[in-house]
Amino acid sequence: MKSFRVRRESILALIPGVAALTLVASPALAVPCSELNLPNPIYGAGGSAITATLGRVATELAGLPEPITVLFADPGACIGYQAFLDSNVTTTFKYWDAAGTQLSCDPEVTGQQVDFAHMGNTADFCPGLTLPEGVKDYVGPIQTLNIITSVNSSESSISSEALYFAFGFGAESQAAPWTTEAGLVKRNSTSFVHLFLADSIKLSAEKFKGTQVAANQESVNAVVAAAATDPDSTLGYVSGSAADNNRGTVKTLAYQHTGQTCGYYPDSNESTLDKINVRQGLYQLWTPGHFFARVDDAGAAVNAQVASLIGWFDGSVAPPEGVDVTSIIIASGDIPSCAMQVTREGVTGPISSFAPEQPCGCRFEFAATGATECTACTEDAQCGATSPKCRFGYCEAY
Amino acid sequence: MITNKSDRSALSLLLILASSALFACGGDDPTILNAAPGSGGTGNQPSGSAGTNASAGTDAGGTSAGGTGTGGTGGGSAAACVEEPSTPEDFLVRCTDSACRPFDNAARLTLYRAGEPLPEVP
Repeated sequence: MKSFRVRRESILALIPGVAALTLVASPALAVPCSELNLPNPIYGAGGSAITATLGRVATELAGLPEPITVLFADPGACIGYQAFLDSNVTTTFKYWDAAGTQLSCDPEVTGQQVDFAHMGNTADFCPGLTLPEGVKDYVGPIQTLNIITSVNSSESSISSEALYFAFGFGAESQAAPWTTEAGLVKRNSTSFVHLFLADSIKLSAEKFKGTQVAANQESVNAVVAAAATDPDSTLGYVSGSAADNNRGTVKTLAYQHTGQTCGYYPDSNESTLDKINVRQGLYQLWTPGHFFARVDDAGAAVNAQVASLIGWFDGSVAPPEGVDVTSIIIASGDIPSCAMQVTREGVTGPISSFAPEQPCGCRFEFAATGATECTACTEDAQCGATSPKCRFGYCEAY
Repeated sequence: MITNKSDRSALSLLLILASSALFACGGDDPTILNAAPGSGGTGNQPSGSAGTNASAGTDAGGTSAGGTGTGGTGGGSAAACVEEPSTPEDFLVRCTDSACRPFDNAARLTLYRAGEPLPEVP
């Protein structure tokens, strides 16, 4: 796993380039965030895998009687985390109003200090980075990595080995139909999805071939663009939320990991959203997300608003009345840990059984798919012997 | 009788190889294999207890209780699967009623050699 890692200096060298790309992509008239007098601002930075989910939560928070404004810069997982550590975010922030409109503003000229970071991975998964003293890693909802192609592609599955050949050898891969490098969409070596896929398929993160883009949505857009000439040749990898939010234009390929003889979707089939194969460990491309915040000597987050935000995401703190963060997480394509039946060591480590303290699988199924075979309930007495515990409105096994 | 982890892993590998032969699907033929029902709609059953073996399931050579079985299929062939996975290898082949789409490495990847390490990327 260490072999593909690059030195920290390499990451830092990339930051100005990524920053420039982001600034080019941002509205020309963006103004400093600090001059907008936004109510109760919380600043964060990190990868774009969480942006869609965070935006939906932020929309609800903006509509509270006492609004909270979440501002998030997503230059990439490791770059955003590094900027959080350095208190020096230089890329554009996204924020959302109560109508769900995504807006943007600029950091302070001297660099913006942010209150939290989010990555799909642990700190040490980023080349050369660590979790310093005074910063805590909070495990968040589970995210998937989806292998995508054009919705018009005739392909339906891909293996770990095929990904290795396609991205490792490019036009020379002989892994038809993914032999056109213009159709291979990759990320840079500091993004979570890139590092995660590289480690999963055992391909050096530095040796991917293809067209490089800077964010999950840009990967989707690039696949769609390349599909105009040859939909079968298109291949990309994005967060599950990005894939699910773009099902009209891209489709997730069933993924066959090394040691499997069949490819599986994150869901029970290509048209559902139940994430059952993630929750049971059959689909291999998933890992918990991670929030990072500064903590005091007692280990408590120094910013109370950040503590609440993270608590709403991990279920440890009740969200404001009328804001159902768990349902938003599910609707966005992520999975709260209470709906998981498996866990894994580290970011890509071995999978093992997991029994959440307060299971919410039934609630997840209903929220994600609109249906569940579980019995609805308001108290334990309404549940049968096999699922005797009423949790989150449904009878669970314990 | 499987008595330890290495034996289980060895058996899993054998079953994988055997099922590979059974699943000689042509390229990306969208065969949907339906190994074993019971995963959906059950909320949070502790891992390994989800579902029951499939209709066509038969015992796969006297494995330990709750171990490997052969699930039924939607396409008329049989697939080895583990009902109550306990090792990382087990989870790769756990029983499920989900759709699956085989990708035939040997047929589709010219540079792939079964049983050999993947070639170094230039």
